[in-house]
Amino acid sequence: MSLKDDYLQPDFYRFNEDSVNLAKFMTSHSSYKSGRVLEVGPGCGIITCELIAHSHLNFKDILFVEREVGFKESLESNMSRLKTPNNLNVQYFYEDFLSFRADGFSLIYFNPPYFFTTESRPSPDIRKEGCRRMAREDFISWLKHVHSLLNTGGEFFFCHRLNDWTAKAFGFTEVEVEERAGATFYDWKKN
Amino acid sequence: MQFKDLTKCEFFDDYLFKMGVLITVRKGKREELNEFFKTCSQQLSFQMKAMLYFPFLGDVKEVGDYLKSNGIALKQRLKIQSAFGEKKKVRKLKEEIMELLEAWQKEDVLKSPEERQKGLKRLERLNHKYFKKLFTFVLAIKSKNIPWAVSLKRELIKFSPYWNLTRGLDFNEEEDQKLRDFLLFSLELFKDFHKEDEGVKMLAEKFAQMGHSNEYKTIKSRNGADWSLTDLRNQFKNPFLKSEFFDFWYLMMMNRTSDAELREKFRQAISVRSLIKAKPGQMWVFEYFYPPQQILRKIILDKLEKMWASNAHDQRYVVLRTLDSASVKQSLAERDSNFKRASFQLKREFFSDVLSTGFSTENALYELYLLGDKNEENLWWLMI
Repeated sequence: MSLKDDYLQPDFYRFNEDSVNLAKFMTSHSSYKSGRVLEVGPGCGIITCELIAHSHLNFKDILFVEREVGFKESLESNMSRLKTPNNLNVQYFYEDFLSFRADGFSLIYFNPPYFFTTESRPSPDIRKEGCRRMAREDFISWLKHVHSLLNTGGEFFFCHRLNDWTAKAFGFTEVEVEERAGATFYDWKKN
Repeated sequence: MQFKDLTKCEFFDDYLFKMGVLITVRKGKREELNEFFKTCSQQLSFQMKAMLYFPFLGDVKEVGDYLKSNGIALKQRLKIQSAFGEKKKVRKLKEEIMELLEAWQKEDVLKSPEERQKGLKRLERLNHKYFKKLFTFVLAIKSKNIPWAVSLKRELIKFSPYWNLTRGLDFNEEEDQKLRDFLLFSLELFKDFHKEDEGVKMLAEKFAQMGHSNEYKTIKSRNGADWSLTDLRNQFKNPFLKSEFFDFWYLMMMNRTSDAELREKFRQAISVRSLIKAKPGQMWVFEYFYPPQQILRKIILDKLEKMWASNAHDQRYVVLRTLDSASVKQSLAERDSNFKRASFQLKREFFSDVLSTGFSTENALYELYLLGDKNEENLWWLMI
């Protein structure tokens, strides 16, 4: 699978360019060598699929935590259609991320909902709503939770519409920040 | 069924009586019929004797040997052996469901993401739509994935009220009690995370409809699932509730107000949008109310046709029910000549088919009996 048009996506949500750009940003900056990988809120799995198909990153053990079960079919189908190494271990968890308990990750990444709930009107479609908007305080909890799941020295990538997130405030060191197509891409490392 | 003077043996030609005797024996209550057996055993056909003393056997070969030794002809033996194979699958499924009903109520179960992931995989293999949804509902709550749980709750409320008649597992009293406990448990678990009164009450009502015993009524009473006529009238003022769950409110209001009011309320509740979004399990309501507008009728008929074409017995049964409305039957017959056939023919084929799945055996046999099918051979399904 090389063209993003080939990805299976559910009716209620279409991925945007940020996911592809985050994969590109990670390809340029990640120093990941080995260890467990976690993608949070993967949707239909674009970022990971792009990374596996087009980057040097050699994943062996990857976990997905997705709250919206409406993505299940497309996520698992996109991953199964991908030409992955035989020994790649993939696990899917349909959970609330903040309740997800596991540790020992070397790499975590996500492209979170674009808006905060205070900044825009809700979508009438409950599933689309969960993909488009989240509470600001939940996003902050996500950043803290990522910190608790990462190994020391582990890498954390994300993109956001806002460019004022400070790594230090969450116990990370900022490695790289880049703006591209209206979004900011962050590369943080756990101290 | 009331057993009156069993020793007279005079009911024995009655098909329902035979069914009753076999069910009693199957439930392990043979001693209740001791007098009957003592006096009437001479009148039993060799086939009935073979059924009544059918032992618990593990595989098809053993069944074949038993039938042969009881003088059952080869052609019939093969049929019974094949039925035994189907029943065995259903028994296995039931065992799996009973295990889940007990295990998933424990507090320390499904605690870790890995356990929940294994649980989900286990459910993916579970060949029963209703129980799959019910267990997934609990798994979603234990994952603290509340949006998922809420969406499953809505699906459970929209499930056909008749699923038990075609995909039922013929639970005994003890199993029924375990199911009731699990239903109560799932509602309590949901309430811990999501205090949405109306939805919980609706789900409690829907759960309570699954059983007929007083035990099931406690599901309603413990969750306040009781609406006065004024409450129900108010529900019809809520545009979201009345449209999305139109069938639920229709059922709640049936026999509690005049037909005229019920029709008027229902007319307001259904729209193009609500019908397009309606689930197959909600379509039963059109047996009772078939809107006159062509645009609405088209959507209804499209859905019913699609449901009839599916392999799902629960969906096909809903269509059969709607055929009891002469207007619906006529409309469907204009689209598909299959529906021009007499309803009893369609029903007989349908319930023969249900019988062959091994689900809802008692109901399938009873329905066939009502349609005039008193084939003694079919009674094997009760014992294997």
